[in-house]
Amino acid sequence: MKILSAYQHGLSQAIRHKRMIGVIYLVHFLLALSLALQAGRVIDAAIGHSLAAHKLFSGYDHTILYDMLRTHGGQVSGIVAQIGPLLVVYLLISVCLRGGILAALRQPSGRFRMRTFWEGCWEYAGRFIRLNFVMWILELGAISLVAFGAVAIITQSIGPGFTDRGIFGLTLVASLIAFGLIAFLLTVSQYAHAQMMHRNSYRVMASIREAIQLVRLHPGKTIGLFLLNAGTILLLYGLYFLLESLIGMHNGWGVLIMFVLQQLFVFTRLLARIVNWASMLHLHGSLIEQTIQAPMEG
Amino acid sequence: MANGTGIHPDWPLKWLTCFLGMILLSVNRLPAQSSAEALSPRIANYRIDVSLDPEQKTLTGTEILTWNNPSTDTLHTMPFHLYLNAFKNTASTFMQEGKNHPWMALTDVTDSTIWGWIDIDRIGIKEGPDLTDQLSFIQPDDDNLLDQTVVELQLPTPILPGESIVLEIEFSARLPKIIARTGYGHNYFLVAQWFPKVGVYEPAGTRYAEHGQWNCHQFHASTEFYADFGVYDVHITVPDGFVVGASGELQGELQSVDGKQTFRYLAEDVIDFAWTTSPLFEEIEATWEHVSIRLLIHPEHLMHADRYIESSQHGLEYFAEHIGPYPYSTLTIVDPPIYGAGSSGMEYPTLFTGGSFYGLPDGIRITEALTIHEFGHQYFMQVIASNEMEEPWLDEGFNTYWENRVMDHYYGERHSAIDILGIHRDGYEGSRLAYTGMKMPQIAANYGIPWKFPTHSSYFALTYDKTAVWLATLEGMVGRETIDHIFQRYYQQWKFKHPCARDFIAVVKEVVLAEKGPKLARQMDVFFEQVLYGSQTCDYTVSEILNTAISSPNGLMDQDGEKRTFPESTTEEISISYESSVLVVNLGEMTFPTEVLIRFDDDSEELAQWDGKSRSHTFQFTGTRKIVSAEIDPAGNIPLDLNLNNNSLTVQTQQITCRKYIARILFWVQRIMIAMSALF
Repeated sequence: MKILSAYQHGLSQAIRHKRMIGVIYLVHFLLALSLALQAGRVIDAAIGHSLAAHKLFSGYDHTILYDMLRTHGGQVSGIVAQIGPLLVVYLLISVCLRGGILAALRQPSGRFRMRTFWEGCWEYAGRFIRLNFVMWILELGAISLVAFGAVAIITQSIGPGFTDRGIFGLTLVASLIAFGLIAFLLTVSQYAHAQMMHRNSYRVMASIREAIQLVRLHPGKTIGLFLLNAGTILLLYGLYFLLESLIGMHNGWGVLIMFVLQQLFVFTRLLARIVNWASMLHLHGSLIEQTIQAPMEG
Repeated sequence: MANGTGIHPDWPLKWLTCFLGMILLSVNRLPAQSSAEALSPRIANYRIDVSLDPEQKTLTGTEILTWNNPSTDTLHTMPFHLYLNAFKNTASTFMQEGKNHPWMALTDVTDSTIWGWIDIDRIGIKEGPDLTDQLSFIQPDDDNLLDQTVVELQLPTPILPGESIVLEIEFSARLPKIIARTGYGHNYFLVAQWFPKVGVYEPAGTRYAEHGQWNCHQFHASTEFYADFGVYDVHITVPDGFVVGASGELQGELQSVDGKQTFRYLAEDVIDFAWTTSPLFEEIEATWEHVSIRLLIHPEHLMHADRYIESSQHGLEYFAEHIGPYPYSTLTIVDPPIYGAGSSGMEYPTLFTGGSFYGLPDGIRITEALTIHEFGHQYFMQVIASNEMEEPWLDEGFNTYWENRVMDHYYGERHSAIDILGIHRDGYEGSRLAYTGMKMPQIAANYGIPWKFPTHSSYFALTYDKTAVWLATLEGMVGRETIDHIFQRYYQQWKFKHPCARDFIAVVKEVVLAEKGPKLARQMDVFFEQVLYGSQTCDYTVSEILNTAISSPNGLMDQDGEKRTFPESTTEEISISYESSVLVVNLGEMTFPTEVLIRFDDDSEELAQWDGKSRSHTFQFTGTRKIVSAEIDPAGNIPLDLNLNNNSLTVQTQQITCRKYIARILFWVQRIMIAMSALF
């Protein structure tokens, strides 16, 4: 089956590009660490020299956390205020890295070269930022449409025939519709990236149109592969939470072991992302000749 | 059959039947008298016939009020509450004060269907003159001449001490769309504060009355209600198919005509009467000892029926065990629909409204907390009928304290209110954090005129939560057993009466003196001065721990007329002692006696006492051991303390906690970043 062979190809590609994943992991780690260390300093200042720290180590304690937020709220707000800008910066970095990832994965030899990676990041940064900007607007638009539609139905209909049971059901249906739309748009986004590279094109809207056409013509394979990759990530999460419930952070060794497991999970999660891209590229290659007829200008 | 005299031989029987029938009819027309021994002074007794038009949302009613003068005063006027007029327009005191209240945000004042009102169409002395033109609106609390929630009746002849008056009142009302507590939501009706209700006459010596006085406040946004005890005999007529629930006991259903049915409810020794109706109610019945529990629940919430029933049984059991027996035989629980959610969480005699949502997880115990809280009001302000308008903390705060106890007892400390996905919290924590989390806990005293609190949110935090927290602090001072005895004594002494703050304080001092001795009893005045009448805050902290080494002296010392070298031998060990100290500081203004637990490096401990009165105090120790940590109030007896994290100090930093949370936060941020890049 094309989906499974694409997935297997993606997996072997990802493993071959461990160094690249290492670079991406390092970027994640350093950005996240900047926030985590600040938060750690606040915790230390608030309860580092208090027996409350002992209690908080044992597990969640609402009173300790709330008192801490109350007395050090200013510092916490300062950290929280950094999250938004940090995420925006990270998203831009992530989009830029995508060029390098795809460029590396498209190498015929299959060997990873750091130079190819960074050249790809540079080469496609501008185009991919524009492409993703359009996709972000489409995704936000889709979610907003579903949300506003649901709210409009609720406010107009609430009454004996449409109670909170109806709201619950409607929210479920709306969530499924939103999930379906997002899955479609994310799949289109991936193939738009691939199409842009394949054609060496700078035309964002044309790439998106061709990606939509490709996904519409082969929904089972394209969205199916996307869902297979999403399922892999869910499995990873399940495995992590199982290990966390078994090991826990109840003592110094537990903290160290769980820290290692957490970072291993992050690395594996990034590896799964690369599997996602690599498998998509493989499937794209096998589908493209059947589908796109009109030549694109370079 | 005629017997020649022209008089029918059956006439005695017929006349007897007519006579008996007239007696029965007249008895039926009078307000019901006690069917059992009276539990309360039945001052305000009502016989009401009311009919609901669900299409027009209107009530049409007749009321016979028998009011007994409980005082030695001669009374020339009678004030009545017309609470529904608070919803007549935005000019009422209730709507003016409620501009910034949460429920106003959901109210569309341009929608003409939301308004409600009540009119007295006719009032007169039974079989006496019409007094309708003797009515006039009054505003005893403010200058708002447009507020029509209190009307005063000028009496043609005064009511003498100990005498009664029987008034016949015809009234009509329109129920508002539920904004706060009462009204309609589509075909659901919660009918509360719906009839002309006489104010409370406080004879001299009742609460704060130095002279006899009417106590009849306007309806304010932040206040509730106050009324006298009596008997309510109410006939409710609704269309066929509507299920009815009400205060008191159902006396039987009378068949009527034109597609309507009439229910008669009798509620004795109560201060109010509320009822509800909807064609969608499902009924579930249960019992607890002598009490019949009736749950009226909407179909979409049926999965929560067990939660309602179980929690109400918990409340009945716990209150009976720790305070006193529940004096009524019925308890009706009303589950509002989502389009009637504004009526949720409100108490009436033997009836209260809870709250639930479809799909509400078991670990979020809103339904249980509301049920137990509203049930608790059967004790605090239904049976012990304090004045909710002037001293709301006497019922809301007391009830919040007891709600927390019941929840923790049955659902687990630290987990009783919320227990889901690793996040947990109990009622005590919630109350404490609602108070300590105020921007300015010292914004106002607990005790004050409710409608004059600086903000609505401060009213809630101080009335409900600060009261619960200082009661928990009182419990910490006197112990669980003694505080139970305090409330048992308070219930015994003040049930079916109108107590005030000083009555409760007197009970506290009496019980504490008897059980804990004069020293602690004397502290009660200071305690209430701080927690109730003052706006001070409490914040104890361990500020500093010092361990200073003292070694044996080196050098030449005079001994026996000679200069000798110390230490005497180079092999002699220099013994090290320590002067250790702990500095505790009171950062706030409240003072409570407390304990300080000091731990040493040899695993020994010392429990020191501190009266908390001075700004700071130093505990000093000399010996070979060093202090490793110190903790104020280790037993957690002073939840009023604004910051519990600074109640302890350790010499060594607790690195492992920081590392654990750095690792967790790092992991969370990484996951969010990866998820974001996957979605966008």
